[in-house]
Amino acid sequence: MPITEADIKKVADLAHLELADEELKTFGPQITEIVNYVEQLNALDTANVEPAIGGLTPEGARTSSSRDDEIAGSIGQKTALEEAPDPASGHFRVPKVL
Amino acid sequence: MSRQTVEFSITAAERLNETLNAFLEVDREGALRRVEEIEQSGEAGALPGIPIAIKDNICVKGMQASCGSKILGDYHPPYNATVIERLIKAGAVVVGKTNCDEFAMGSSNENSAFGPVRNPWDTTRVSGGSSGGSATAVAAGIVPVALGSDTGGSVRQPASLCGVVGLKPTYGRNSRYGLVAFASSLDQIGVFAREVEDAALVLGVIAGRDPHDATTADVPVPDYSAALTGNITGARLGFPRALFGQGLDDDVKKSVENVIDVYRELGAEIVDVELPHAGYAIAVYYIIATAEASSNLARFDGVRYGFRAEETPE
Repeated sequence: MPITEADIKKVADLAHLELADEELKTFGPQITEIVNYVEQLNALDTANVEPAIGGLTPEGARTSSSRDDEIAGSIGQKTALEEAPDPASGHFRVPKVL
Repeated sequence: MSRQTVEFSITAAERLNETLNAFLEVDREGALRRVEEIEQSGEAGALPGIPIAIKDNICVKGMQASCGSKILGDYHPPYNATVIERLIKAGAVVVGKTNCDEFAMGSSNENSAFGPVRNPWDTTRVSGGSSGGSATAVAAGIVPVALGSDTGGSVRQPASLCGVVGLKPTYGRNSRYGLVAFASSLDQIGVFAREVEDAALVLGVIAGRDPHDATTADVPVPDYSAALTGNITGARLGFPRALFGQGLDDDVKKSVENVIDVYRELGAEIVDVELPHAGYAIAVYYIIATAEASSNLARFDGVRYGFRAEETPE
């Protein structure tokens, strides 16, 4: 499946990435190559393969992951905000986007 | 004794860093304070006063976790990863955080925002990656053991390139709570060591069920050290011969053939195994790893921590 310059531009716009014209030209053939490489998987018949969820072995997957719903300590507001780029009155303040 | 060992590690880490660039942070003060605590408490766990280096994508309270990226920069996590809690309880002393490819994505360590890690055997060569700093720290003799993370080879490959033991435990064997996630159905925290015995000791400490990570398997942790009897008579080792061809370096081929001979002489049985779908592994890996990375890394949006872009796009 060839990836066109328009495809690259659309994805870049969605991701808010600014690409130079030169980059638009370079990435098309590169991504086409990646998609072609991955398309070799179409040669495999997976119609009768059970979907797998996560990476646990059957032994691990059989183990229960539920636990008692008990209240435990939390890190608290002060600690949670320590790394915030712009905290204000106990909140994470973010730039206006609308 | 442990004070001397830790001091040696810290001094070596500081002195060699200009050459090797293995460490992004060395915590002299914190490590020596920890040694004092151990000396005063008189407690001796499985790793009494053993210095250990930790890849910079695993959370250690009071230290940075940059993941080799300027997006996180000098981010300081407010909690310890479960593996760190267990190491500290066993008496280990974290001496520093090690360099890695950005967000553990890379196989040479040239993709760290803080410069490449050098291979201590030949500093013109790469350490491998993404856990290159941990591999180099162990290979250079700075620390006896270190932790890294392995999604698609990031412990095993740099261990191989630096000539040390590298262990990626089975998925579910140990907790990833406090490891910055890359591809959650593949990520595992792994061990670097100079000796297999040391790797066994560390795995025994960090392995086991953790309520904070639902993917940890609730299966008993065996005594790995006791299993290292030196006797491998009757062990059956699988060898995927079909992968032993295209693109293989002659030196690597010889090394593997040598080791097969050694195991055979020690009484192990070498069994040829076929992995008919192995050829598809990389294509599958690049779908799973990139898709999971995309959702995992969406949290680095600069809202609660880390880098925030100056300009908000319209």
